[in-house]
Amino acid sequence: MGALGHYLEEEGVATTQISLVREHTELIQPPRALWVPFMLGRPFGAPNAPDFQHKVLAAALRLLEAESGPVLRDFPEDAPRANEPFDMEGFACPVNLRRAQPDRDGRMDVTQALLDEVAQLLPWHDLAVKRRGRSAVGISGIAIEEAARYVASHLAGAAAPSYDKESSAAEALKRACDDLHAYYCEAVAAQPGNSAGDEIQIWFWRQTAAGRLFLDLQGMCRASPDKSMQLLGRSLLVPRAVTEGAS
Amino acid sequence: MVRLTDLPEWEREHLLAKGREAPRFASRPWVRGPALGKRRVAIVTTSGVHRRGDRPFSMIPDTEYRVIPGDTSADMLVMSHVSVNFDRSGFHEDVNVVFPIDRLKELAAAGAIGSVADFHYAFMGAAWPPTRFETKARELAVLLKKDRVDAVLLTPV
Repeated sequence: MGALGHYLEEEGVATTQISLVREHTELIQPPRALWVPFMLGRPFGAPNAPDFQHKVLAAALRLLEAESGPVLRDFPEDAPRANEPFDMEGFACPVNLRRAQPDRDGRMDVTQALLDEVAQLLPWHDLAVKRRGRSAVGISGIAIEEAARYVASHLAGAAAPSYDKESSAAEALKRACDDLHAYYCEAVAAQPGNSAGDEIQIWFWRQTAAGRLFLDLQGMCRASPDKSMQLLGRSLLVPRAVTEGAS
Repeated sequence: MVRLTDLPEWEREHLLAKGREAPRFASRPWVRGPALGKRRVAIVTTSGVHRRGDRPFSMIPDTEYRVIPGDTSADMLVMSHVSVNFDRSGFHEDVNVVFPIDRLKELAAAGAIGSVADFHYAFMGAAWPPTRFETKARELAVLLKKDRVDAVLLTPV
């Protein structure tokens, strides 16, 4: 971010920026930066808080009126909602998804388990879309049930043909996983009392078949001979907070 | 974000390692402009947002950008940033927590800024070190000037 500001300014375009990692901004020293004490992913502090977002935006834009630089200011307020670090302990989500049962041989049908969850969450996702007027699901361009089947097929031993011939198998898998994750998060956030992002993450990774499936996929990708799959398994499927924070 | 000293060791080390590769620039460019009330403002974000149906960002981080026309409505924006290590729930609820297009339009309507640009731009900031963005940033500067932009709001994720 800081480097972009430096290059644009060298080309004659004035810039001001939000800084999320102050230590990086101190090193790069872009022309104008406002450091904010908000969680990664929320540079303007909090969703659906237009007054607070305006405060942050105005503070960033005001730096354009500074006489000289570089300028690095600290935004003085925390975001309206407490944004504690991601914590796997002490969370009790009211959502109780019906757990898939193993068959008589003790085997779990991962595809069915995932499709069951997707179906159970459907009315909540519909409600989320109606309330918000939008959805962040849609990176893969396929229906959510198809995304579920596609992801599960990789663990069921017979990966389905890619739905996107222009992307690598790993990219297609990544996008289907991202859509599933967004679908779950949007759906559960529509339920009563479930608006906190970190709590939803704990629920997803600890209490859903999808979370368990993603963790299994991570292992499968790491062991794959395909370098793109290895990259996916190494860092692009499961957050560091889950892999490192749990150890 | 909280300061690095407040983070768990594994996260602090990750960000410190990135910091060691951060560029140190010899020059300190500084462009002056008109009063805020006369500025034309564009957003350039590294959050990996784009219009639904646009090509998603690559899993192998590159420095390509996506164009977001100023009349794009919030319900058209999705995010294909490859990182799984930042909160997305805020973006799910409200685009403006990442890409404050509605807030910017409100400022223009109130006369606090001159106008909002016709085009905004989105990168995926996963490419590191950030010197990799130099060519694209200089290319973007030409386009921004053609759009008569004289203030860029840079937003990370």
